[in-house]
Order: sequence, then C-alpha cells, then structure tokens
Amino acid sequence: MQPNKLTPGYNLMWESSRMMLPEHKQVLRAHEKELNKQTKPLLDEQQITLFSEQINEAFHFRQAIKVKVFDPFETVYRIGEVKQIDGQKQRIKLDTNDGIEWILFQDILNVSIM
Amino acid sequence: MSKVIFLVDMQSFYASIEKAANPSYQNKPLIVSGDPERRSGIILAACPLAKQSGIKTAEALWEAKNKCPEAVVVRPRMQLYIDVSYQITKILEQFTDCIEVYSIDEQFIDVTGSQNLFGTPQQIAKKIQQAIFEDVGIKARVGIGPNKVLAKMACDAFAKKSPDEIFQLNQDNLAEKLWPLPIGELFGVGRRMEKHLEKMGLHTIGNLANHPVKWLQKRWGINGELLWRTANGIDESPVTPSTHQEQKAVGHHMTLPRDYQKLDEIKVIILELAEEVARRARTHHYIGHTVSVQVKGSDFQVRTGFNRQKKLASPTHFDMDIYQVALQLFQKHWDGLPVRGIGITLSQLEKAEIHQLSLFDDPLEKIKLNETMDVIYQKYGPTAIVRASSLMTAGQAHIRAGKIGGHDKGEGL
Repeated sequence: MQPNKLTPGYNLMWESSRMMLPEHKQVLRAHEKELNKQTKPLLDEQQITLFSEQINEAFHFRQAIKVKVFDPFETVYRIGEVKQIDGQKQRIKLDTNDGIEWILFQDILNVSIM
Repeated sequence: MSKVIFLVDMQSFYASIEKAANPSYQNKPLIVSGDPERRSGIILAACPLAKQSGIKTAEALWEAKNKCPEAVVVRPRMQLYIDVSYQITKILEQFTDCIEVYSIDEQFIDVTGSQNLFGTPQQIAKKIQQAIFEDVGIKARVGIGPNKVLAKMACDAFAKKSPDEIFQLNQDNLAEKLWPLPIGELFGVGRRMEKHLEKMGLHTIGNLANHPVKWLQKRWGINGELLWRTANGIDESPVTPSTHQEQKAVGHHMTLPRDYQKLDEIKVIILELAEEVARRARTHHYIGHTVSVQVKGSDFQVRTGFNRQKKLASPTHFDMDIYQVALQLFQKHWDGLPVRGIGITLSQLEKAEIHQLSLFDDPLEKIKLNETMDVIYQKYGPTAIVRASSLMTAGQAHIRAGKIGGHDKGEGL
C-alpha cells in the first residue's frame, strides 16, 4: 500500500505542509554529502609492499586485477589489465572496459588478482 | 520512554538578521519588504517593534508605511537568510545529529539521546537559545513535545507568548492548555477549514479532539483523521534528517509583474519556466515522466486557475519537450482570463543514467546541444544564453536570475 499522511514512521504529513526554497535544500544536500565524506586511511608499509608485488606479478603475467581506488564520497573499484607501471609519476596504467585509466599509487587502497 | 522533540523557531527571522547585521537599526522598527514596483512589494518580515504598530506580514508596503511611517524599510537578501539558517543548523548539530529543517526559520530536532550530556529538556532549550543568540544574534523560540506536532503547537501557540520563549506540551497538559484554544489555531487548519469546522459546531480544538473521528473521516478522508490526530496530539512521524535528500519533483513558479492576458506573452513565460525546470533537472541528473502546469488567476475573490498534469510517452529533461506539453495543457484548460502566476513542475523523476530511449525520435542532437548549453550556463551563469523571446517585454529571465523565491538574492555570508 502507498504510504499516506497517517502512516507511522513516514514523514508525509510534514513533507506536504512545508515550504522550502530549492536553493536552501541544495545547501542542505551539499552539507549532508560533506558529512559522509571519508578520509583516506593510512596504510601499513608492509601492506603497500604487498600491493606493489601483486601489481608487478599481474603486469608480468598479464593478469587482470581489481583495484580499490580512494574516493571521498563513494566506494570505487577498477578492474583491468596493468599495461604500464610509471615509477616517475607514481602511477599505473590500467586497461579497463571503459578505456585506459591512470591510477596514482597513493590512491590505491586494495589490490586483488582476478 | 517517550521522545523529546524540539521545534526551534526564529523570531521574525529576516528582520532579526537585518537588525543583527546593522546594529544602528537595533532600536528602530524595521520591516523587510519586496520591491514595491513589482507584485512582490509586500511585507516579508517585521520586527517586534514594527509589529507593535499593527504591521502584519504579507500586507502591502504602503499599508505598513501608513501604520508606521518611521519604520526602516530594507530589501530582502535571500541568499544571506539561507546562509544564516544553515549556520543555525550547524549550531543545532552541536546538540544532536537528528535535525530536520522544516522551513527557513523552523527546524525540528530530536534531543532524546542528548539529555545525559546537556540536561533536562528545559536546560537544553535554554542552552540552544543562548548559543544561537551569541552566534548570530537572533532570538529563538523552542516548543517541546513528545512528537513533532506537539512541539510545533507548543511553539506556535505558547512559546511565542511565554516570557522565556520555551513551552512544553505533552499528553498531561494537552487538555488543559491546547483544547480551550479556538479551532483556527490548530496546526493544519486554514481559513476555509476553520469555517467548515465552525459550521459543524466545533469551535475549539477540544471540540474537534472529542468529536467522533469516523465522521471526520467520512467528510474529509485522510485529512479529516489527520486533524483529529493533531488535536489529540498524536503524530508518529520521526524527525527525518534525510528528508531533503531525495528529489521528488523539479518545479518553478513565477508570479508575474502584471497580469498577462495575451497567449503570446504567456508563451514566453511558459518557455522560460520550461527552460529553468529542464536545466535544473539536467544539473541534478534527473529525467521526469510527468509535466504539470499550475496557473493562478488574477482575481483573489473568485479563485480561477487550474492545476493539470500529463504523463509523457517517454521521460525527458529537455526544455522543448516540457514546453510543448505545458503549452498544450495550458491551451486546453485556460479560460482566457488574466493570469497572475504560472508554474511548471516535472515529476516522477528517475536518474538520467538509466532510461528507456524513445524509438521514434533521435535525441542525439538534442543531447549534444543541451550539454553544450549546460557547460556555458555553468561557466557564465543562467543568463549567458537566453532565447530571443526572453528579450521581449513579457520576458522575465534576466530579472529572475537575481532572485531566490521571487525576492532579491543579495550577497550571502
């Protein structure tokens, strides 16, 4: 059944009676988004060594890997084949279904070989 | 254990902000008024001093000036009011994380879990008033109740009149305090409903509360039962912080500077509204299935106008699609009488990333054109490109760009 203004636990009674400027709502939405912002976790050095070994292995054996990439607002995974490891610019080149993607070493949170 | 809900309400919000921003107005009567040259030239807010001389909100500026010629008149600064309201939300966040903003000057908060930290409801209310006054210089009133509807009525009917501007309403003092009040003071009762209820012999809130609910249900359905519940202080809706997250509709409404009577002029406005609605839908990546048109006639006594909607064959967020449907609806239902205001709403929204493409028209060109326009809007503002029709005398696009809610935007914080 569709909830109505009397349904317990819903807020329809108040949502149908209020006056909110769209510009005001937008400020509140941005605030809510900011509240859920994640900070980048600090990784253990041995963990980082392990990641680099996995990436190297995948590169040499042309295996696809799944990389968890840091993003403040959502959980992002990238899946693809490692095409290049760029030590100069501290990044890897990943060939994914959506095209070529460069991922910075510092944004890598997890690596698994597919 | 029953909950402790507050409604925190700002005293004459816009006027208080203007007084706090400009201390030399502190002891003078002050009114915030829209542009007297235009329809919006009404009193938006009056400080308590101005209200003493009989000024009421929503009356015309000249009426107010007659009553109190020495009053300071200031233009609204809507962006500033939004920013201050948001600042108050952040102050309230120091007391609880359960906040539902109800309007620009009213916010519900649930402090049930904050009592161990901050004390009794009365003490918390005092602390909140203090924090808001110290930070933004505005007096807050607090209504306290076990649910939102009692908090709201505690605030509106009592806190505003009590000396410490705090009032608690609950099931124990409901009959004694709330029930003797006239029915018009009940939350949700407008002037029309007031007359209907009085005709039924229900003159006080108590009369309604003790009236058999089935008769109210029979006459007004859900709304009848809702009023009965309100009179009995029953409300099971939780304080909902996420209430503004989900967008249900994108709409825009405009009160015209004068009554428009010619179809050609009205077409210009419908197109501008369709553009605005489409642009906002696109920026938030929504696509909508239903277009509705709201028209307000110019006569206040006899209510003319209509509100009609149409479901589209395939969802859209393009201005011309919305315009065509809106114009069709308007032409079908318009009685030819002068029009005071028009609104267009796009509803039944879904995310734009996933939707069924139409078989028959090729949207690619439209998509590319609109993407380009969106980039220009984003970089140079909403009036960087307008349709030529907006440059005709009937057009409002340039005037509207500097406004929020139909009033001057002004500078923010």
